[in-house]
Order: sequence, then structure tokens, then C-alpha cells
Amino acid sequence: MNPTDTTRRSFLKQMAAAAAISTVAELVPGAAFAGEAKEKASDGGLHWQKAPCRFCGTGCGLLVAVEHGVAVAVKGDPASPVNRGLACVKGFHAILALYGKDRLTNALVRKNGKLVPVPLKEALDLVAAKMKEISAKYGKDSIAMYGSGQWTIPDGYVASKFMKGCLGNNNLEGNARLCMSSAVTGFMTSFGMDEPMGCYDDFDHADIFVTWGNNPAEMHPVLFSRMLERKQNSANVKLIDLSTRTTRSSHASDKHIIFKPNTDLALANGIAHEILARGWQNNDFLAKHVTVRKGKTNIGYGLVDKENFKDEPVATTLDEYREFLKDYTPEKVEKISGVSAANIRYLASLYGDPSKRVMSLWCMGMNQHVRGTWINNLVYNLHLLTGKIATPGNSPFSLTGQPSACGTVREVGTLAHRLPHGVVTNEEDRKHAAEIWQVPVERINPKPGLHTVEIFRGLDRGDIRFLWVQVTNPMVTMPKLKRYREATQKEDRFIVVSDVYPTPTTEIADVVLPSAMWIEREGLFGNSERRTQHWNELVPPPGDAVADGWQLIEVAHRLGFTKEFPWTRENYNEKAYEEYCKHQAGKKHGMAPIADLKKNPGLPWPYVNGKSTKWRYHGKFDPAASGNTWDFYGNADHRANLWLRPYEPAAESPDKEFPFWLCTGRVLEHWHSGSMTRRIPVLHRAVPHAYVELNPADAKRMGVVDGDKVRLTTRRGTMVFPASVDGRGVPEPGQVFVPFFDEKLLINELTLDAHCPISKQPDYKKCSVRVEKA
Amino acid sequence: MPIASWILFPTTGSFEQMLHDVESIEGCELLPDSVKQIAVLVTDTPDARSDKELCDRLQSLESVAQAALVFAHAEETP
Repeated sequence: MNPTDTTRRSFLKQMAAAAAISTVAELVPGAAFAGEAKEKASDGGLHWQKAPCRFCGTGCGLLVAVEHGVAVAVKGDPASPVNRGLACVKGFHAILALYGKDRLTNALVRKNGKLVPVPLKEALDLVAAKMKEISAKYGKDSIAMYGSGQWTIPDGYVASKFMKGCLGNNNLEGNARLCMSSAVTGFMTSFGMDEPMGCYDDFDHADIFVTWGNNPAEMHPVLFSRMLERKQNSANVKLIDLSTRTTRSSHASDKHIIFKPNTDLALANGIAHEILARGWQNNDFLAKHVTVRKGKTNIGYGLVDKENFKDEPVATTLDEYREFLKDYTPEKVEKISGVSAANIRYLASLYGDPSKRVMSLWCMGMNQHVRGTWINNLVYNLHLLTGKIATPGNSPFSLTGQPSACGTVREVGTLAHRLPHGVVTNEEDRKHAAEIWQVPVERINPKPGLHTVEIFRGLDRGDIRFLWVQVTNPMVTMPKLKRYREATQKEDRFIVVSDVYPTPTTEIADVVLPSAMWIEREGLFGNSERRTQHWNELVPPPGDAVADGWQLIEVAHRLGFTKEFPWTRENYNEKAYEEYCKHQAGKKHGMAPIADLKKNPGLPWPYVNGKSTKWRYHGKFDPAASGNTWDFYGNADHRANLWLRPYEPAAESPDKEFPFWLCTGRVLEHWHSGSMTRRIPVLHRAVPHAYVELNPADAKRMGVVDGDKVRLTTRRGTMVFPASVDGRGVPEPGQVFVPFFDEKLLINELTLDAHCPISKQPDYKKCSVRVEKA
Repeated sequence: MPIASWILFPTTGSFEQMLHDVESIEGCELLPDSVKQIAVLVTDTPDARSDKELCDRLQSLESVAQAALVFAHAEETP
């Protein structure tokens, strides 16, 4: 038995003792165990250190205990204002994700068709040589890098500086493109700046919570518990669940309203129509703080390669908006959406009641949407019409799915059009970045790079020849997977994958680099509420594993960029973060210094004069805002934009041949592509494989019972799944749902790569499918 | 390699005897509460068979009135 096993068993025994002592405390009041026993049961004399959770975008603070270089215990951090000591089932098992028996500890290089272990130095030499060779042969834009919202802030920043500041190449993307880019374009088009104006304190102030196509009971359980706590403490608080499928969130809500797929656009317009028809709008707010705009319509679905949609917004009037909304009377919307006119009026009465503070929440339902930008705009419209925004409890809130989708991908410039501050197309922003990076401004390419779907299409076409993937698993998560997997295997393509476990993506790699994970290295994440959290390296990484950012710096050094990265493996996290802070300096996005972050369980930006800003765009709370009222300073006119956006149907709707809707998503126990949570035995056993949820009426008609094999066929292919009938989620008749975490049952073989033409985010929630008993 | 925890309730007047009986079984670690006359037991056995034997032996002790299982964990990796 090795020392790791011993320590792990000690930990398990401590947990066993703690469980029994806690039970005794309930059963036998007054029971008291010896001091030693209590200490053993409570924390075993362990030394606890803080780290944000590795999984979703909530950003729960955790405390991790380490013995003999091994993480042996984890618990929620009571000092964290995010979770106040709570954690979900994934957080409570987070440290076990470090110790799966098949951790990648060596670099691997494909030789004669097989991945074989090599020294890390040899692999890094090869990566640098291939970058140089391919760049010379096919041009610098044949290189691409693809990371994720699991990149730490320093690692994403290093990637941004390396690609954009050193190589002059904007083909840098993060998988936040697949989950958050509609939120980004929603914020940008409505407010001119990304990320929520509110914060998690809104959960303690709101009277009404409206979840739009969102299942926080499973996806953001700690935040959902805050909603439930608010409801428990205040009799008038209501939870309203708007969705296409019945979930655990639906069961816990006061009202559950089902709408047909993609018709949330009509529903939001219907609510707006009713607010205006009843005179519930806030005229003073509209007059002083809102500009009405409209853009192009019938904008397509991004199904054609190299499609490059550009919206052309124009200002319009509130009168034209009223006229536009005549197509969205409650009765007309009922016909489109299936939501009764009475329920539309009810929803309008909640948004329109000046005495009620309203929080709207959403995640993938609105973002993975062929009109993702539009539906984000339309929910903002409801808050702008009523002036319920940017004050405590009045908060349209886009939740994120990854631990640093905000802090890294959306902020440090790892999207194809972004710089750490601003965009590549803006000359001033390029100058600002070049000055901090100390590189010639001409080196920064003013043309945006390829977005994620186009990077993989480019790999297929041959425009992209070298792809480096870090901290993500696209061979599970890309839609229309077959095309993109086959693209990686075409001649003269070179794929580098940095990861912690073997995955379907490492299977297609030419080089695999072993990564240090989470607390095996120092890092910083930024969560959904703009909170930046720092953690120290708590345990050593296994074998040759090294942080992703340091892998990038090693290759950058080999390509001659030593001046740009004059840092060491030990200090690069701190140095990169300090440099990144220079990009964001100022009242609008100032970042907390690392010394303050080390002392606190996270600090939201804008961080001004030693204080975090909880609500942006209002002078009472935001030092960057002028006056004592709202100031939407992200837009040149200091006003928020209210958009005319129509209902348009999905890219692919059910027809005779494929008569069902297919929706995909997550489950509570597994995070993202499952590469970590499937290696945590208790989580794996809880949900060991993917399945297809059917409505009980459809199942009965087809003669399918729970566990039967069901064949799903779309225009992309055919797969067989076990059926789940009346399980934890229940789709509407004519719809099915499949979780995507299972690499052995890759539902993305069947999904479509249609996307929002503005955000370029694919719609994983809607395509047509044939469903048969297998 | 199962690990489990139990709450042990002694038969009347047998608290000390129960501690003595259980301590003599391999793989048992006791956390007694002498005021309330109950004990928490943590067991650590090498395999499922040993675990079953330990459970049987525990249940057969005359000094033990009730052994209530609280926590059980058996290693398994997918």
C-alpha cells in the first residue's frame, strides 16, 4: 500500500467517524465523545486552505486539507459569501478528481500510429518545431489554439499574449464560445460591456425569481439553495420556472410554465406587450436611460462554412416598438409558444409590479440558441421597460457553466475578436495592449480570428493545420461531431492536447501534454458574479504534469519570445496576473491586487480603492457611474439598448421523417464532458451512463419502458440509448432529452452545428430526431 | 477494501464489556462515550469477505444490543 492509499484511507475513516458522531448527536442529545475523538471526527487536526471549486461557474469557496502532499479532505468555506459553507455533491468530492488511476503523468507522442511516453522536454520541442514548420508552410493563420473557461486567468492571459501579441494570430478561442458567447453578445449589444451588473447578493433581495430555460437545482445547486432559502424566509417570494422540460427546478418552483422550443423569443415579447398595454412600464427610466434599437431579421443559422453575418443596428422609437409588439399579443403568443394568454399576463404582472424586485436567471437554455443574442436582449428588455435593473434584487443574471468562463475567456482575450481590454478591430485597444505587452502594435492582427465552429471547419477544409487544445474536450462537446473528428485525422494536420486524463480528444492527438490540475498549481478563477478567487499550489502535480500556462510559455520561449515571458515556473501566475491587471486598470474594470485576493475568499471587480463594486451602472453603488442614478456607461450615449427582436423558428424543426425535438444538457452528478466526475466513483455510480428521457405518453405509445433500448436518428447519424421514463427529467410529448457527459454514448454525433449568427454559439437544445424502440 | 462506521448500543450494564469485546476484533477502532454508554465504531477490513465476517461477529456479541450502520464505503474505480 503506498502512502497515498494510507492517507486516503485515513481520510475515509475520519469521514466515517464524522458521519457516525453527527448521527449520534442527533439521536442522543448530550452525547459527548473524548476531545481527541471529536477532533478526529471534525477535522483530524487538519490544516485547511482555500481554493475555489474546480467545477461550475458558481465559484463556491472550498477548504482543502492536505496531509503528506495529498489532498485528504474538502468542505465548503463558511467564509465564502458565495456558498457560505455549502457545497454540492461535485464540490464535496472535488479532490477525488485528482486521483483517478489513469492520470496522465507523462508526455505522449504519436509514433507509428501509437501514443508513446516521451520526456516532457522532447514533446515541447516537437510542439514548437511543428508550430514553426506549419506556420512557414501554410502561413501563420493555419495555427489555432482552443482552450476553455477552465483555464485559469494567468493561463488564459498567457495564451492571449502568446497568440495575439507574439504570433499575431487571432485564431484563439475558448469553449465558452459553446456556452457563453450569446451572453457576451447579449450584454455587449444591450449595455456595451460584458458580464452581469448585479451579484449574488441579489438572491437575498429579490421577491420573484424567473428561471428561463434553466435548471439550477441540478446545474447550480448552491445558488438554487439560496433561492429556496430566500423563499423560506419570506412568504411573498416566488419561483417561476419557464422551460421546455420538467426538471427538479420545476418541482421546487411555485409555478412551472412550459413553452415550445425556441418560442421564448415570442414569450418575452408577449410579456413586454402586456407590460406596455397595461401601462406598467417605467416611463421616467425609459426616457432617461434607454435607447430603442432594431437590427437585421431573418439572419440565418450559420450552417454554411465561412458565413460571416454582421448586424446593422439602427436607432428607433418606443412608438415603433409598440407597433412591433402588436404581433405579440398574449393570444397570438399563446398560439406560437403554447403558453396560455393568462400565464403571459401573469408573468407581465410580476415584472410590471413596481413593488416586486425581480431576478431573471438563465444559462444554456437561452445561450445555446440559434437566436441566443436576441433572447438575451429580450429578457433585458423586460428589466429595462420596468427599470428593474442594477439595484439590489432587480437583476437580469446570466449564469455561467465553467469556473472561469467569465474571469478567463471573456476577460483576458481568449475569444477570436477580443483583447484583454477591448477588441482587435479597435486601433486604440490594439495600442493599449501592445504598450503593456511591449510588442510592436503592427504585430496585433486587426482582423478577428476564426470562431470555434469555424476553427474546426477550417481544420476540415485545410485552412487550419495546427491545433493546440487545452483544458477542454472538443471530441465530446463539438456539435455534429463526426465531421470535426474526421477533420482531425486528415493528412497534414497536427493536434496537440493538454489534459489531465485520457479522453476522446487525447485519442486524436499527435502530442499529449500532461497538465497539472486545480490545486496542483497556483491559480485564479473568475466566477459568474465577477468574483476573482486565488488559490495556492496545495499538492504537487503527478509525474511530469505541469500547468497549462507554463507549457505555453515553454513553447513561446522555444519560438524566441523570451522577452515577452521573462517569468519562471514558480512566479508566472503572479506576474501574468499583475500584468493583466494593467489592461483593466480603472473604475470600470479594475481588478483586485493579488495580495488582497490571497487574504479574501474572492473579490469582485470593478475593485476601486480597496472595495468591490456589487452593482454596476448605478451611481449609488458604482464609482464609475456618474450621478446618483443609472449610468449605462458601456454605451457611448450612456443608455442601455432596448431591442426589437422578432420570434424566428429553430434551424431544424420536427417533420414527418424526424418528428421529435432533441435537447441535450447536463446532470447534477457530472460536470461537462465527464472526464473528471466519471472518475469519482460515487458520482460515476450515481449516473454511470447517458440515457434518453422520454415523455411517459410517448413511451407508452411506443411500448417502451424504463431501461429499454431506444434508437435515435437524426440527419447526422443513429445511436441507441437506454430509455429513462418518468425519471428526474420529463420532456414534453414529442421531445426527448439526452445528457452529453458520457464519452461512450456521444450524443453530439447527432446534434447540429447551427448557431446564433451574432454570437456564433451553437444550439445544442434543438434539432429534429426520429425515436424508435430498438 | 471496505470502511464503515457504526453506532453501538450495549445491553444493559454491559458497556465496558462491549468495549472489551469489540476492541479484541481486528480492524475495529472505537470512540466511546462513557456518559451516554454508547460508542462509535469505525471498521477497516481488507475485503468484502472479511467485512462480512466482522459484521457477523459484531452482531453475535451478547454485550451488543444493537449495531447501527451509518457509513459504508468500498473502493471501486470506473
